[in-house]
Formats: sequence, C-alpha cells, structure tokens
Amino acid sequence: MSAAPKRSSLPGFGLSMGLTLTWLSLLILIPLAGLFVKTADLSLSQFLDTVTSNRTLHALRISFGLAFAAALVNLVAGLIIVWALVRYRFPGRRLFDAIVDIPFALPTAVAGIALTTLFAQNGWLGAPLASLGIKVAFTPLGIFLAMVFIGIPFVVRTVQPVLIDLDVEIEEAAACLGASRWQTITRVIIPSLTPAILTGFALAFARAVGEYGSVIFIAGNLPNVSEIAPLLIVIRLSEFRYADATAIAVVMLVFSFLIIFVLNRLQRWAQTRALAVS
Amino acid sequence: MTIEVRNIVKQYGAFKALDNVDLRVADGELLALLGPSGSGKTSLLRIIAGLDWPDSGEVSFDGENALARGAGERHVGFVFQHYALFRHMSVFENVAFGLRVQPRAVRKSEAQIRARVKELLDLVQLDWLANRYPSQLSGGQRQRIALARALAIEPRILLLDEPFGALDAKVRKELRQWLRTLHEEIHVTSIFVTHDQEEALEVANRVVVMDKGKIEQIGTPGDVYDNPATAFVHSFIGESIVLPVDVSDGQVKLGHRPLNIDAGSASGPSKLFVRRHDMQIGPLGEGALEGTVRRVRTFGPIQRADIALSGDDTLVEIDAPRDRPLTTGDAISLQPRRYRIFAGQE
Repeated sequence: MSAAPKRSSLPGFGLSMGLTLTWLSLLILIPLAGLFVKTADLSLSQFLDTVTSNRTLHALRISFGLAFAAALVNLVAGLIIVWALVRYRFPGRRLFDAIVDIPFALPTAVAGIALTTLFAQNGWLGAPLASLGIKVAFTPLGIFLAMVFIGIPFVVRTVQPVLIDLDVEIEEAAACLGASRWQTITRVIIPSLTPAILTGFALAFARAVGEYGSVIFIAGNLPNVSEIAPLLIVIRLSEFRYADATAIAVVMLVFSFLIIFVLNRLQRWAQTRALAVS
Repeated sequence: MTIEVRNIVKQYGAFKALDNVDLRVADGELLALLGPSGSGKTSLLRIIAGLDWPDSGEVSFDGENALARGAGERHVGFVFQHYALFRHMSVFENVAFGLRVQPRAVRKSEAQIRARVKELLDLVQLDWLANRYPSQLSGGQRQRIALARALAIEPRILLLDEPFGALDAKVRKELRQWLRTLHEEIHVTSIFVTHDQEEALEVANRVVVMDKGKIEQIGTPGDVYDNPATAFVHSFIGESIVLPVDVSDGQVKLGHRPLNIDAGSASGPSKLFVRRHDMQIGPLGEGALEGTVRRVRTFGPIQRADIALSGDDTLVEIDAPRDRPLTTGDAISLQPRRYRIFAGQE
C-alpha cells in the first residue's frame, strides 16, 4: 500500500521542524547535554558530596528562595503598575511605560553598581535605612532587591496586553449585577488575567534564579550568608573544579525545569479553563 | 417600574450626544430606542443604567431619583451587544454571579442560588449548558445566558444594548420572537437599543426614534411607520421615494412641473416623501408624475421597477403588485396614494 503524498494547506512543516530542531539542538540541547556529560566525571558520591555541601545548599537556597520571593513581590507590584498604565490617562504615562523596560536594557553590572551605591551604608537610601537598623547592601536583602529590579518588566509586559484586551464591559456587567469594586477585581479581573500572571511570574522567577551581574555587586558574596548559586559556579570554575561547577549547574537546571514545568501546567490549566477547549 | 428622564444633556467634547432629552417609560413596557449610530440611543441607555452620568438633567425610577445611586444599586439588568460574559466562569457561575456577590446579610443560601440559576436556565431554555464555558457556546446561546444572568438579580428594569447586533440574520429573527414572548412572561419594564428598524417595529410596544441626540418621534410601531412626524423619521423608517419640491401658494412643483397634490402646511423648498408601494401606476396623463420604466425585477408578490421621471431623468424605485406587469421602456404615470411633504431641503 503506497501512501499518497499528504497535502496540507500549511506546507513547509518538514522544513520548519527541521530548522527548529537544528537550532534548538545547537543552541540549547547540545550545551546542556555537555553539562551532564561533564558532571558524569564525578562519581555518584562525589556528586552528592558536592551538591549537599553546606555551602552549595545554602547558595541554592538563597538563589531559589529569594528568586521566588522577588517574583512574588514583582507579581503584586507589577499588577499595580499595569493597572495604572492601562486604565488611567495621566501626564507622563508613556514615559513611565518606557521606564518599565529599563531593567531589560540596562547592563546588569550597571544596575548592580547603581543599587549598591544607593543602598550602601553611606548611600542615599542605605544611610537612612541603616539608621533604622536595616542593612541592605551586602546582605540577602540586597540580593532580593536586585532580583526585584531585574524581574519587574516580565510581569508588566506579559500582563499588560491581556489587560488592554480585557473588555471594560465585563467590569460594567459585574457592576450592574451588584458587585463591589473589590469583588469585581478579585472575582472577575484577576481570574481573567491568571494565565498571563502565571507566565509573568515564571519569567520573573527564572530570570532571578539565573541572575548574576546585578546581584554579585550588591550581595557581598559571603559564603553561607549572601552567596548565590551562579556565583558559586563561577568560583568553582576559577578553581578549575569544572565537574563541581557543572554539578551545581545540573541541580539548578533540574530544579528550574521542574518549577517552570509546574508553572507552565498551571498556566495551561488556567487558560483551558478560560477558553475551555475540553 | 416607571422610568422618567427629564432634560438630559450629555456632551463628549464638542459632540452633543444627548440634547435635552425627555422620555417617560410606563410600567411593564417594552420600548425600543431606534436611531442611526451616533444618535445618542446607547448614551441614553447607559445613563439610565448608571454606567454613565449626564451633564445635566434628571432620571427617576418610580419617582425616586436614580442618579443618586450607582449602577449596582439601581437593580437594573443590562445586556451588552457583545455579551460581556465572564469567560473564566461556567455558564452556571455566570448566571449565579449576581446572587453570589450580594452582601452576606441578604445573600441566598447555596441551595437557593442553585435553584434560582436552574430556574433561569430553564427560562432561557439552556439548562443543558450549565457546565459549559462561554467560549463553547454559539452567539445566540451566549446572549440568552447574558440575559439569564441579568435577570438573576430580579431587576426592576431590563436594558438591552443592541442585544442581537452581533448575531446572524436567522438567529436574530428567532431571538426577537423569543424576547417578545419572554417579555410577555416576565413583564419587567424593558428598553432595548437598536439601529434595525425591523427589529424595533416587530418587538417593541413603543418606538422612540432618535437622531443627533434628540428624540424625533415617540409612538407605536404602526404610528411611526404610517405617520412619521419628521422628514428624518420618514426616510429612516421604511423605504421612501424622496423628491425635492417647491411649494408656493399651496401649489407643489417638481422642477417646473406642477404636481396636482395638496401641499399641507409646507411652503418654500420642501421634500415630498412617498412610500415605494404608495405609488399608483397608470397610463400616461392620469397621474401627477410621468416617467419611463428602466428596469424591472420581481420579488415574490411584488415587482420593483426603476422609473426615470420625465424632465430631469431622476430615477425612483417603486414597488407595485404584479397584476399589471411592467416592461422596460413603458411610458407610465405615477400618482402618490399617500404622501407627506416636509418643509426644508437639507
């Protein structure tokens, strides 16, 4: 039985799939595979020793924990910013809209140095905070701050177009049905935005986990205090302990993948609930 | 519930959306606001609903000032042209929304809410869709769910903004009939906005014709069709032949040709309006107008002909019964059986 050549109204599947796979392999899959191959230089016990050492565990905790907290803060702050930018007309709105993108464009080192200068104990903001007994620069709080800084555009830029598309009539319908403003926001608007919010959260989180440039300036980088996992990887590299470095990288990779996978499923679930393609 | 609207003015920048509008709606009425886009009909509806506020004027429900209350406190059901359903909620939850957001003190129990939603879904004949999501429904189904949702709060007034505007012709026709029946069943004072004259004339008890922020005429469907109060109403509702005429000393002239018809109260440059089916066709010399048949088509019981009037060759379109077949090239006379002359030619 010879299969007739399949005709499609969207030709080019073979070509585009081939290019996609080649590109993804070259840029992502092969380097990542290298990571696993290099890690395999270590025996299992060496690997476990490396990744369960206090210093590594602490660095991972700092990176993932603070990234998660920063993404949560960005979620709330980002929603408020989006709301103001989309729903109100005020002088300078376009300027503020442009400012949101600065963390995207600014070299991260510049951001790190600027934040450090600002929050150092003699800085404009650091000094008054220090007099209240709050130390920001060279502590985990500083890391958290840098992560908030670089994550904010992700939430804003993913939620903004969805909120723009959200029909004002939906809010009017809720108001006519007797819903208070608060009920309209919590029961109608936020649920409609949930898929976009989750995406923005995942992106902000992923970016913060991998952030290096801006964090290392403000972190102070004290082992077991304010050392992030990416920095520990760089330190291991500079000590020529390549396999140790890749071992930490593998753990980060697997963790990040799992978390983003879960967020992705959540987002898919929220979306199918909205679009209900059952 | 009666609605009274007095001296409403609403301006958007230089554009006057509503210019001193007065309207009384009787209890249990089904009223249509009919007009072209930009005539102010939707602005008026939104002001009654509490979704917009007028620059000046009063709105009262049963004599009680409605402008002092927000949309949520007016107990008004509002149906939007594009449904405005909550897409993340099932049909059931959409309908239940108005009941769930009530203050705890007056909120119904879960069992009561379920019973009420069931009852409403039965009313709109869509109880089998309770667990679907809005995106899984057809346009007509969505609009019926939107209506059920609006009725859930037992509104004192039902307002519908171009409710069938986004639907295709067949569904539109079905829903029209259905809305009519529903209104007879529940009898809540209702106002709907439409730009479709057929819809207004078919569904409403009374029709309010609006243009440029003003009410042109209020009357029963028969009234606005048979006795249009203004030139605008005559040309907007039904198909009309419009001819520029000149009236002096009670004599009506089309160009230089005197027409042997009564001028009524008009004088000076005016417009003669005749319904297409109100032109009587006769042999030459027996009517006020003369012309030549240019083209004939038939639609079921009628034939429609383009007639070039003698003189300046103005083309008019007339509808005639098929008992006197017309053929291209016939020279005929036309006599308006019923007509109106309105002064002014703009």
